[in-house]
Amino acid sequence: MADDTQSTDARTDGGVERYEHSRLYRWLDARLDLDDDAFGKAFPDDRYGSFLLGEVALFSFVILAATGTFLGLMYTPVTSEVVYQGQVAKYAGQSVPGAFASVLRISYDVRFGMFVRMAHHWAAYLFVAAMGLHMFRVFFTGAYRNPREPNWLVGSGLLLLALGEGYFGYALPYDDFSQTATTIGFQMTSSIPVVGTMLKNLIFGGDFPANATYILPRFFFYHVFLLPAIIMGLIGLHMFFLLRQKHTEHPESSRDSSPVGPDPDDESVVVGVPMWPNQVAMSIIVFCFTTSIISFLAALFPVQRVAIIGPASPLTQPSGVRPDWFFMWVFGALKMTPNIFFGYGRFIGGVLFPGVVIGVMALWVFIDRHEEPVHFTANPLDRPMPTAVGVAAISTIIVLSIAGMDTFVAETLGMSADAIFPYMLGMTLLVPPAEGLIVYYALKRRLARKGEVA
Amino acid sequence: MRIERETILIVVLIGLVLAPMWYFALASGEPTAGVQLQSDDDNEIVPSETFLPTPNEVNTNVSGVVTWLALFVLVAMIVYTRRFTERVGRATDVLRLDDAVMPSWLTSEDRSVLSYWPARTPSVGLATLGLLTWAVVVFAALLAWEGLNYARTQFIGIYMGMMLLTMGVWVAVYTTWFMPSITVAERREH
Repeated sequence: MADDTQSTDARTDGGVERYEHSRLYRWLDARLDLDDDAFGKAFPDDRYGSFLLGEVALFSFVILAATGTFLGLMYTPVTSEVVYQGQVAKYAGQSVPGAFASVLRISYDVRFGMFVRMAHHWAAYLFVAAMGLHMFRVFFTGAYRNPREPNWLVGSGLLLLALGEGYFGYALPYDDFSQTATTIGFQMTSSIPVVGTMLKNLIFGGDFPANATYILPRFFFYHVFLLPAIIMGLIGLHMFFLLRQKHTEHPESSRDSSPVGPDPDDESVVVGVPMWPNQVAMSIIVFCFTTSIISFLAALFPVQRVAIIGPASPLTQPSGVRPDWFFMWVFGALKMTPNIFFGYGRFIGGVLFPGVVIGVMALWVFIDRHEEPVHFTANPLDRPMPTAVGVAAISTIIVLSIAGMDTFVAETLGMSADAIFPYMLGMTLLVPPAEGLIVYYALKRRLARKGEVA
Repeated sequence: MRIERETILIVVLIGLVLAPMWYFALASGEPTAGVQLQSDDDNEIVPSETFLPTPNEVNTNVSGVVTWLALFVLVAMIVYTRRFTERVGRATDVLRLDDAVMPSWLTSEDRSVLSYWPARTPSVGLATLGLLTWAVVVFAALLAWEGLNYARTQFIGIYMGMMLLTMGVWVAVYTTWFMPSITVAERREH
C-alpha cells in the first residue's frame, strides 16, 4: 500500500489524510469496503524484545511450511525396496527403502536439496525453542491471566502439535535411527492401559515396524497435512484472540514519552506503536533475522545425515539412539522409571509423568485463577509461587534431559550407566523441588523486605 | 535497569543444572565421517563441499545447545535493533500534534496519537541504504550463481544468511530514518 504522509497535495479532511494517490487501496476499497482502522492497532512498547518471541515462532513455522513444501514434492513415503541411483557411493546401485532413497536423492542429487532439508530441520528446532521461550515469558510475567486464559490454552495446544510434528517428521526418512525412535513412541502408546490398543490402531494403524509399509504414508499425511492444517487454524485463533484482547503492556510503558498520555496505571487503554507502519516494519526485520539465522545454521551445522546412519533395518539396533533434544526429557523420564510398577514402568515414565507435566502446564490458568482482568505484565519477582513453580519446571526438564543422556554422561565420567543411575534418580527427585523452594522463600523474603504481601 | 539479587539467584539456580546439561551434550558430539560421493569429477553438484572448518554433523544433543544459543543470539539482535530504531528514530523533537497531518488509520473513536516523531531522511541514511542495497544485490547474485553451479550447501547458506541479514538491517535503517515513529493510545474495550 502506498502511503505518503508527507504529501503536499493530499486532500485532507479535518486533519485526516485520504488516499488520493493510492490507486490500489481505492480499487480494493471500492470492492471490499476496507476498514483502515485496523492498520492503526496499538502494539505495546517492547523494552526487552520479549514480545517478539511469538513472531520468531510464527516465522519459523512459515519457513517450515515453505521448506516442507519443497521437500514434500520429492519425498516418497514408501518402504518397498528401490535401487538407489544417485551420487552417494555407499548406496549406488543398492536396494534401499524408497523413503530412504528419496531423502538421499533430495540431499545429494537435487540443487538446494540438502540446504532446504537442513533449513527445515533447524527451523523445526527453532520453532519449538521459540515457542518454549515465548511460553516462559508469558508464564513468568503472568500474561496468561484473565482475560487471556483461552490464548494460553491455544498456545499449549500449538506446542503439543509442534512436538507431534517433530515426532512424525523424524520418522519419515526411514533410517535406522528414525525407525528405532518411532518404535519407542509406538511402544509407549501401546503401554497405555485400557485405551493403548485403540490409540495404537488409531494413530499407527497397526504394529510398528512390522506394518511400516502402511504406517509411513499415514505419518506423511499427518506431518504434511493434518497437523500443519490444525496448527495453522490454531495460529489464526491465537492471532484473533491477540488482536481482539490487545497485547499486554509493560507497566513502565511508552506512556512516559507523551505528556498528554493516559495515566501510567490506566489499564483501560493500551499504548504502543501502530501496526502500520511501525510494527509491520519490525515484523519484517524479525522475519529477515529469523530466516538469516536458520540459513546460517543450515550452512554450518549438518544434522541427521541419513547417508551415515543407514536405512531402517529390522535386524539392527543402532548404538547411541536418542530422540530429538526437545523429547530428551521424556526419554529421561522413561529411563528413570524402572519397569517395576507391575509392568507399567514404561507407561508411567513415558506417558503418565509427561502427561501430568503437560496437563499442569496447559491447565495452569485455572490453578492460578484471577477473577479480575489484568492487562499489565507482572514482575516475576513479585509472584513467589508461580515463579517458583516455573523455575522448578525448567529444572525438571533439564535434569530429566541429563538423565536421557545417561549413556553419554557415564561415558564422559568413565563410569557405567548402571553405576550413575542412583545419582541420576536422586538428582531428578531432589533438585527441582529444592530449586523451587529456594526461589519461593527468597521471593517471599524480598516481598517482606519491601513491605508487600504476596 | 537495576538487576535485583533475586534475579541473579534464579539465573544461578537455572545455570547450575543447565551448565552440566550443555557440558554433557557437547561432550557427546562424536566426530563422524564424511559422505563419500561417486567420482567427484563428474558430479554436477557437490552439496557437501565446505570452505569453513565446521563439524561434519552435530548430533541431537548438540543440536539442542546450538538451537538455544542461536535463539538467544536472535533475541539479542532483535532487542538491539528495536532499541536502535527507537533511540535514533526518536532523537528529534516530537512534532506538535496540532500541526501534523495524520494518516486516517491512526485515529478513530477509540484511538488517538500520543507522540509523532517525523522522518528525518538524513544523507547518512541515504548513503547507508545505498550501501546495503548494493550488498543485498551482491549476496543475491552470489546465491544465484552458487545455486546454478555446484550448489554447495555451506556457500548457499552463508550467502542466503548474509542476504537476509542485510535485508533486515536495510529495513531497520529505513525504519529509523525514513519512517515516522508514532505512539498511539487505544481503548481496550472495543
